[in-house]
Amino acid sequence: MSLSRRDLLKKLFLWATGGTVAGLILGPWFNRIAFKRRLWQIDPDKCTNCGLCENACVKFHSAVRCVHTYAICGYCDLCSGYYRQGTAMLDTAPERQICPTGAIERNFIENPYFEYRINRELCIGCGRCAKNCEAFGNGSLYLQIDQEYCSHCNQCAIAAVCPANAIRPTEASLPYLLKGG
Amino acid sequence: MRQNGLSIYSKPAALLISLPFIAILVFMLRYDPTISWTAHTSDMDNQPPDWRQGSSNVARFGSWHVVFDVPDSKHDIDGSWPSFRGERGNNIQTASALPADFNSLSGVRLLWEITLGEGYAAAAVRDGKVYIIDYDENAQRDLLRCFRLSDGRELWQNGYQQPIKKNHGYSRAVPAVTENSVVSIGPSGHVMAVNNTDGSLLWGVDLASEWNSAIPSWYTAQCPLVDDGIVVVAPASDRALMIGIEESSGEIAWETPNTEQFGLSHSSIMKATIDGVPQYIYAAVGGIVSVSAKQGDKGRLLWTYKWNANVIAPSPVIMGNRIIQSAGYGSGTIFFDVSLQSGNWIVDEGIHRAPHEGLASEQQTPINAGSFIIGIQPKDAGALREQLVAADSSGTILWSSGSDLRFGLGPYLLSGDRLLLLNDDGTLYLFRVNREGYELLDSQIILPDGRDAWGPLALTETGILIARDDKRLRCYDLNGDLP
Repeated sequence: MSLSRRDLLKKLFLWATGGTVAGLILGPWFNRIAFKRRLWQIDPDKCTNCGLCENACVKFHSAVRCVHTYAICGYCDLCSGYYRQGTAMLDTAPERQICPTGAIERNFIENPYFEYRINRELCIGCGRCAKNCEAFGNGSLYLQIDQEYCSHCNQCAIAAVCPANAIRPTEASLPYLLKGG
Repeated sequence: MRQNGLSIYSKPAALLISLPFIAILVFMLRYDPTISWTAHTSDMDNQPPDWRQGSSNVARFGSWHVVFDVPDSKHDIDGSWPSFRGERGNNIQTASALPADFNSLSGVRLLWEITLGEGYAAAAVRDGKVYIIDYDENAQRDLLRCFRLSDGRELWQNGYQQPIKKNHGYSRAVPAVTENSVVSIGPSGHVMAVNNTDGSLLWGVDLASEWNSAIPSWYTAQCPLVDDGIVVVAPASDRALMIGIEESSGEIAWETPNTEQFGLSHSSIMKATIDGVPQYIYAAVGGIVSVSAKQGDKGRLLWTYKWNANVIAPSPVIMGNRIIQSAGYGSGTIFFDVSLQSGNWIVDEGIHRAPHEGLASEQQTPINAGSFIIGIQPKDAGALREQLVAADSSGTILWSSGSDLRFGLGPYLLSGDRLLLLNDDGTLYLFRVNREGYELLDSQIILPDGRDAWGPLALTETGILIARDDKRLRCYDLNGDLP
């Protein structure tokens, strides 16, 4: 069967148009099913705040950060995640703080409540605050991989050394594993 | 052209070459890399000065007093657990409270339940009545409430306005009931004595405004001690370390100066007799102190032992001449001996054990069971964290409940060789314990969906158990044989 040049071009145009439309419609769906994007995240129920995250990450400044779930926090004057053990004076003097970089900002709200905020630029993910908060407080401070800083490596270097197997892939639609949520 | 072997351009050239180095040197000397830094100082949290001194409002004791019209009970129940840690202050009820074959909790029967303001204050029981200090959130009022043991009907309440904000609950202490009165300490340090029959006010003392006490974080949990008609409390302020108040009149019977400037803790005063001398022992912030309880010598400071633990909730445990004091937040436990030699008190150096090195307790007071001590290890106790343990008098662990049996900050008490332990979630555990080991006999949820069930248990010699979580008080007949 012979095909004229005009018909050939017409068929090619129709196939190209149809393919493009189908790609636009089915592409995102197919991408979601076949190439589901996975992100690495720390399971706070498994994490022991051992501190390995700080140096095991391939990034010079680890992608791990401390996060604070305010709904769990006690807003205490004496915060076990902020102060070193045995601290008598409760103020913001650096020598009393657990955080080696001063990444936790403490603010008086009203008697007797204080708010504790994490400065993401300063936090190095060492987990010292989270460890103490878990041991003596409500566990409202804990570690998460900050997806903004994460390189999304195929194999997470922190997961490879995590003694508690606390780091696992999570769907991109659920980038954080937050307590109480 | 050459001059003495050097080009005439040598000097300018050397000067030219050295100029950049000089410029760098000048720049380095003038450059301050810290110019953009901000000093991290002690005043960056905007806390107002002296906010911890608390309210300057003096409580109007007796401003709220209600006696309820309640019909007589058909079946009165007797029983006693008259103060913090029971009649003898050791958290041990007589073995008769539970039958010899009490090995199961399946027969426990709920007698009644009442709703409370959020807190950890627990009940005292005497002559068929239950007393508890509560906080009415809506009215912002401390309330000493009295209930009938048999059916939980409220008989009276006496309170005073005290606006405070929730800080991990409100009320914390256990009242002390005597033949005539009930003495309570509210979360903000208000010591109040009322008639135990109708709740009418006898007297009140405000530790913060009258004795300059600095109320600790999360309010005070100190439970009053009534000894021989004297209410013994520790203001631990610049005015006094410990005071004795006449139970009947509220007059100050004696006071002990606070020479070491120790602070108020959550611990309670324990009475003990060491080398024949009765004394009141208290774990203040800064150290453990002893004050004479001997007639004619009451209020005299006998000895002190300095220890820097900033949050102390457990009370001192006394085993003969040995004092055992635990504290939370990683402080661990100290063990030291005191003795009276030639009229002088000798306090030895003692030993300190970190939580992972031996017996420790964060909140509850361990029990001296005679030849061993029972306690629950805190979360920072390494492999033994949150396990029920037995230890000897130097804190060496004799046995532990194992990794499958871990508990929180809940209370526990002994009756004979039976240990009743309430976990944070409201599950009651029954153990048989001795120095050699333990046997888990049974467990039962007695506070369904319980949360922070930390208030001390009360167990009467008639087998009535009173337990609470953060918002409920429940009364159980353990033997299930009451009418």
